[in-house]
Amino acid sequence: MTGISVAPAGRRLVLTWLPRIGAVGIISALVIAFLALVAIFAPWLTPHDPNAIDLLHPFAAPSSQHLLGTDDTGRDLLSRLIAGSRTSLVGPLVVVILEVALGVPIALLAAWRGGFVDGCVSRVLDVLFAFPGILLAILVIAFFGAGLKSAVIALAIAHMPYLARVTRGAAIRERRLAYVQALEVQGFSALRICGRHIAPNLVPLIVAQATVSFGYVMIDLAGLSFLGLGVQPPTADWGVMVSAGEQNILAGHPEQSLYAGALIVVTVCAFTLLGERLADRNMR
Amino acid sequence: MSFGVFIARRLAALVATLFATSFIVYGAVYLAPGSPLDAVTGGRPLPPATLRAISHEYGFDKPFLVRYWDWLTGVLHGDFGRSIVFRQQVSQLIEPRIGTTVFLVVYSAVLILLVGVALGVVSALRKGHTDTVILGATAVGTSTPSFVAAIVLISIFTLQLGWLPALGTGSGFSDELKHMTMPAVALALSGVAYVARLTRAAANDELRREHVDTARGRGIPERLVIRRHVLRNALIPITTVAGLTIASLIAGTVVVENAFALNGLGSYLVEAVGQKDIPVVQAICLILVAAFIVVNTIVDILYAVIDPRIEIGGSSS
Repeated sequence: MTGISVAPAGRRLVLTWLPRIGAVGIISALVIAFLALVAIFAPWLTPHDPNAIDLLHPFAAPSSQHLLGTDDTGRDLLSRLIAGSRTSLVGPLVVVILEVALGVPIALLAAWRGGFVDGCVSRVLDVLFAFPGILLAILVIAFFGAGLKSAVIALAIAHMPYLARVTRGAAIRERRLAYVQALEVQGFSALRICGRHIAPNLVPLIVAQATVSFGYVMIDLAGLSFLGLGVQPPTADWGVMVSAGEQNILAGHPEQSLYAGALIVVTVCAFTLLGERLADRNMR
Repeated sequence: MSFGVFIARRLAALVATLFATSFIVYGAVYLAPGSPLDAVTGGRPLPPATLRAISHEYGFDKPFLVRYWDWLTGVLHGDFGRSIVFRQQVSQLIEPRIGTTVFLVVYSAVLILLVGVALGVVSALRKGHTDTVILGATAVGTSTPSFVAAIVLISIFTLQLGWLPALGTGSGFSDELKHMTMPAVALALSGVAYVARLTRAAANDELRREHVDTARGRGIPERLVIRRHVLRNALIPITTVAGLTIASLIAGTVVVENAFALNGLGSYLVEAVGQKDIPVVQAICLILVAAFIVVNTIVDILYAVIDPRIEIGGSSS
């Protein structure tokens, strides 16, 4: 690899990425794109009002009226799954955006200043690493109250160290390259060198890390909603639906839980596989 | 650096991390909106005399650091304060539940070590169809949250087959084992899949090495080549990852215990959050985080012990 790398223009970036992530990567990307479209157009796609209760038809079998049947209060399952894609995907998305917004500047600061600052940052990250994400989230929720907002903020703090640590390592390698020294000699400010030159070169790495992180965050966030600490019913959300359906499994109606659970698994799988392919691509 | 110094440094780091995390667990209450007294009482309307008594018991009339120190020294003596809801020692409330959680974690850890490593070895040695199936199944497995695994297991083994009880802890060892099987499988599933994938990769790496070719060239039976030359070397990365995966089970119990209505620390934690019983929340969080950190440190030391190539004290971070 040459020492000086120039961030390619956006269009070329996409074109060079596609073939290298392989068939699995492309399929994963298509699944994610499909889910994103469903989430964006959810209000127009739901055949019924996702919160419309019909007590006369609980646990209805799949029919032309209700393609996937209904839940214990007669709400249309397909509509709830479609509506639920919004909270289920937007939650992890916000967490990942916060992670990048917090973790990347911290990583760049540590890599640029080195020495004492780097030591302090590393120790703080170590302590955060010692906290399993879901425990930190539960601790925060205990004091701020249950809800999506507390869960999102807590998970962003808990998952940020992974992103920050990898970014810091890459930024330190980048800082040693000749072009950074050349820019320093020319008298460019640290902020400009980090923001305009180092950060853009780290984008592929950060995107790969953020994609993998999305999957892990989704598991934690859906888990919190399952515990009743995240998204609150009656809002349609996949984690909430797994939990709500659990009571009906032993009565012989596992459908709601299974459908919502399957969607969580498919989504997490797509993000993890795509993230791994993107990370492998960076290695080469 | 000698091994003793390495151990001493790891233990010092352990104590420092425990100290920092205990500070976070205790200090978090002061980040909450409103006064800490509100947080402790959960905003319940209480008579002023009771409020004064609680205020005194929790030491809100003392500076923060003094309070933290009192709490920490109490914890070190096994005193976690009193529950707001039950007006009982937290340690008494927690103690009977620890067994369930430990049982669950140990059961899952055994599954990860046995099934995870076995699947990975089979996957590496049986190229072709078997390998592809295991690779696909483990990709789905790593992406399956424990609570989704829980509902799938209950749907199959309780609803369809009626083999295993879905809820509760059971009494007596064999009954307990029966009750804990589905929770342990649900908790272990993603770890089993992850360790299987890693074992496969590690064994494949070794299979490509020259020393394996040499051993085969010398006419050593394939069975011995696999056991002595491939698996033995592959064990080094497997131990680390399996250890870290097992450590992460500790936090996972919170979700699994709720899914199966087990009476352990994790389900009590969620109950206490609902009741705003802050001393209980702090105690359980601290115990679970401390267990997580201790297991991580043990794995770290174990890694240095089993891998002779590790230069002890080489630059970390």
